[in-house]
Amino acid sequence: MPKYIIRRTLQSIPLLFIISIITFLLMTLAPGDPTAVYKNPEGKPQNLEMIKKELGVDQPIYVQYYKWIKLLVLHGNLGYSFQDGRPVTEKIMERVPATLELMGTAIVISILVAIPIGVYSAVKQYSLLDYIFTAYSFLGIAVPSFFIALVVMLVFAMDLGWFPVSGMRSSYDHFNLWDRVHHLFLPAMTLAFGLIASKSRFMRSSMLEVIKQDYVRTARAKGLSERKVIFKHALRNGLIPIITIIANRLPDLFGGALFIETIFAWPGMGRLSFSAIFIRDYQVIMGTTLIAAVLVVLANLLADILYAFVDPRIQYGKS
Amino acid sequence: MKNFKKKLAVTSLATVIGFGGLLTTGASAARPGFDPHKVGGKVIISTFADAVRLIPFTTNDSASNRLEGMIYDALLNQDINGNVIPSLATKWSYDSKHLTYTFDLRKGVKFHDGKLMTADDVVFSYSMYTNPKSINTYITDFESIKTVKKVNDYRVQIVLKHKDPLILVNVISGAAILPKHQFPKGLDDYNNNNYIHRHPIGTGAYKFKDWKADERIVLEANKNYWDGRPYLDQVITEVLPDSNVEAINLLKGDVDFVESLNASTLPQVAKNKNLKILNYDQGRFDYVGFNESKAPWNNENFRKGLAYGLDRQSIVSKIYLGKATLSSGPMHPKIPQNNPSVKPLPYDVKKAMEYLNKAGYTKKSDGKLYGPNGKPVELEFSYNNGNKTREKYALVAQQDWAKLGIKVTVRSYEWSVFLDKLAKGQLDCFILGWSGYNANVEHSGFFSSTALPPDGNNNNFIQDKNIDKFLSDYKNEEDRNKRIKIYQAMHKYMADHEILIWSHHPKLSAGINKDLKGIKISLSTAYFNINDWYWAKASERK
Repeated sequence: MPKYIIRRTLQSIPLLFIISIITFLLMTLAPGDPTAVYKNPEGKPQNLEMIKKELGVDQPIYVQYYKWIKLLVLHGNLGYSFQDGRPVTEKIMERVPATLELMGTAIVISILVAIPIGVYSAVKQYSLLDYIFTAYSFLGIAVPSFFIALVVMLVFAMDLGWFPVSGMRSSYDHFNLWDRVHHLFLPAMTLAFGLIASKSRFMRSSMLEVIKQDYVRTARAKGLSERKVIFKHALRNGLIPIITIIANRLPDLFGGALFIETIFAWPGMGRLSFSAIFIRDYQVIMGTTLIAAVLVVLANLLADILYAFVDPRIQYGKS
Repeated sequence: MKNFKKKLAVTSLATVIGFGGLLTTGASAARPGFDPHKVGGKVIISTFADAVRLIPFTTNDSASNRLEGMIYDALLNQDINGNVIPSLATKWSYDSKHLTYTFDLRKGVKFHDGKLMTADDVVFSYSMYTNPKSINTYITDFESIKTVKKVNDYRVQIVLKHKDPLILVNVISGAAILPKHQFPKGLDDYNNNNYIHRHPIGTGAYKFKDWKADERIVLEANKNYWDGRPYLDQVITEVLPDSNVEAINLLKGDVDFVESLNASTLPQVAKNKNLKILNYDQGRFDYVGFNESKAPWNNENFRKGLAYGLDRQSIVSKIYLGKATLSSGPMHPKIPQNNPSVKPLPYDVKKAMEYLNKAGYTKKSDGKLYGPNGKPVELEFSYNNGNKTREKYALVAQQDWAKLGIKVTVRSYEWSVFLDKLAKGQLDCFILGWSGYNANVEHSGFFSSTALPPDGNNNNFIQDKNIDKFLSDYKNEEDRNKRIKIYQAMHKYMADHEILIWSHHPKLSAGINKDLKGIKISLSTAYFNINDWYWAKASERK
């Protein structure tokens, strides 16, 4: 197993390298100019030239890329934002806690709720509750999150006044748990609403498949209680495909949710990436993309390792 | 400081550019009319995007500009009509023979860190702005300055390279005075020091207190301000990136002042008993632009035909719900440079066809308009993606011009792509606005043939000798009244030749907590007199 992990990690290096080249190319070849935001009516050529030089965007694309990767490999430095000159790492680190808080809560809630819903729907297929959950899933998947966000905001924050409208906190000077939970509730629930919908569908179909397997029938024939059959025999196998689904969401823990963060004025990574793309802040775009890519690679690795853990039939590193 | 900046109006909401204005001057510690009973309380305002950095001219985004206007002072300031008034300089004189301005500095003014402001700080600040290696995005505005000299601790001289009558309004009343001692490495600190960029220190009415990225920025009253402290104890700027959420925050009472409400949220705000709506003018003109160096737009009669054929009156009444005035040129009706004898063109399809025929275009029996080259006319009408108002505008143009026999395709581009295509002259025609000017309007960056892209902002590729002459005469005329006459003549010329399709001057609607009083809004900023804003109720002043 350790050998396998090392091999997979080494394999991911060229992959990340290629991802960074593709991102850099796509970004620089796309229309738009990072210095456009600096233009002003009285601007003259020398001025813009100076800014271009300062940012390094006057050079050919391969030189720009070489400089970026050199800084990263030799110094572990993700460069400096075009917009305000701050280190990209600093800008990202500033956002990570907020995004972790929001996405972590949403993902945990969605797992805790989706799995029981999925199991129930599978076991009691075509029951009234199953139909209700199915209807909910369609709604949750079909309705865009920003719409749900505005609706919950109007109802729970505006009309009922139970929650703050937006923001992450109102107490800035010291940490106040209640204040944070209060602010967290609506955005986390809005995100969870969509996540539960899709995850519970996966869980349902995965369980349905497992329940029809021979060993489940055998377990029942042995006279085990239905409870034991479902939770001890079926659920563990039913969870395997879900692991991939959940692991694939892990990068979001850092990547954040663009619309929800924007609407709830949540100071997370989603907003950082979005504004960077909008103003063509190449350095920040590269930083956030690279981190996302690393996380996807890690999450996949993690999923594969967990596979071996939950399913003894899967073994790595032995041929 | 005043509106140093002019800018393309990006969206109908996040457009007002310019420094928050400061107040009329007073010799003593408190300004005339200061009422100690009004002191206290905090006000929460909103911004779409976080500030970038708070050192003047290192960026030109509206959130940074607004806050810098509260934190810093310049040598001079402007009153609500754009007249130059004293600020950090109490007196100034001009020696035309030696092209030299002499400024007497106000004594005893302290920076927020307690150090005295002297001539050294003035010399230092101008050396930051004029250094060729400076990232000052407005460096070219300082082009006419030869040297800035210290005469003694409280007197400085600015020597010019050549005559520049607009320098007082366009540079000296906008260039903030920085504390030299906070920039030990000089230009390197000005350009690159992230700590200084995010911990500004000025002499202004408000002191910087706290900044949480993409959350909020807190300023607090400078109680030792030379012109008397502002009434409010704190001004908190919340970053609220969505206009609906901005409105919900206002309705719930979590935000006290929203600079520009979007039309769909206006009725709800109007119904709310705790709020009021303030409609105001901003120095801005919106127009249908095009690449004027190319056919068909290089033909004056064609431009006029399309202008007559576009029902701008119904655009104003239906899309803007009356919150705009028709325009006849690039001068807002509230500035003296506006020529009142010039009237906006009416909507008149018959006249439109006459001009199109004159231009060599004919509508044939198939209903299509054919050009002199024998091909039917087809145009692409562009706007920046996400701007609902402009989308509707484009659709009206499509319908109206279809009546002339022109096939119009409506197209939206993401903002930076739009700017790119605009500068390259690749957009057929488009709707855009230009904002941030007041009675000190100076339009050469937008209309002069010396300001063609990629370096300048003459994005319509206007190359007209007469216009160039108006623009340079204006810049060189020392007599303000004569200057105004020159622009009035230019206004008429631009209307007579329909240099662009002049559309309208939009108005903005601010949403305000009804207890927040004393607000005056100028053509260039909604925060013109934020030092004088106060809470009407004692409970809110706590």
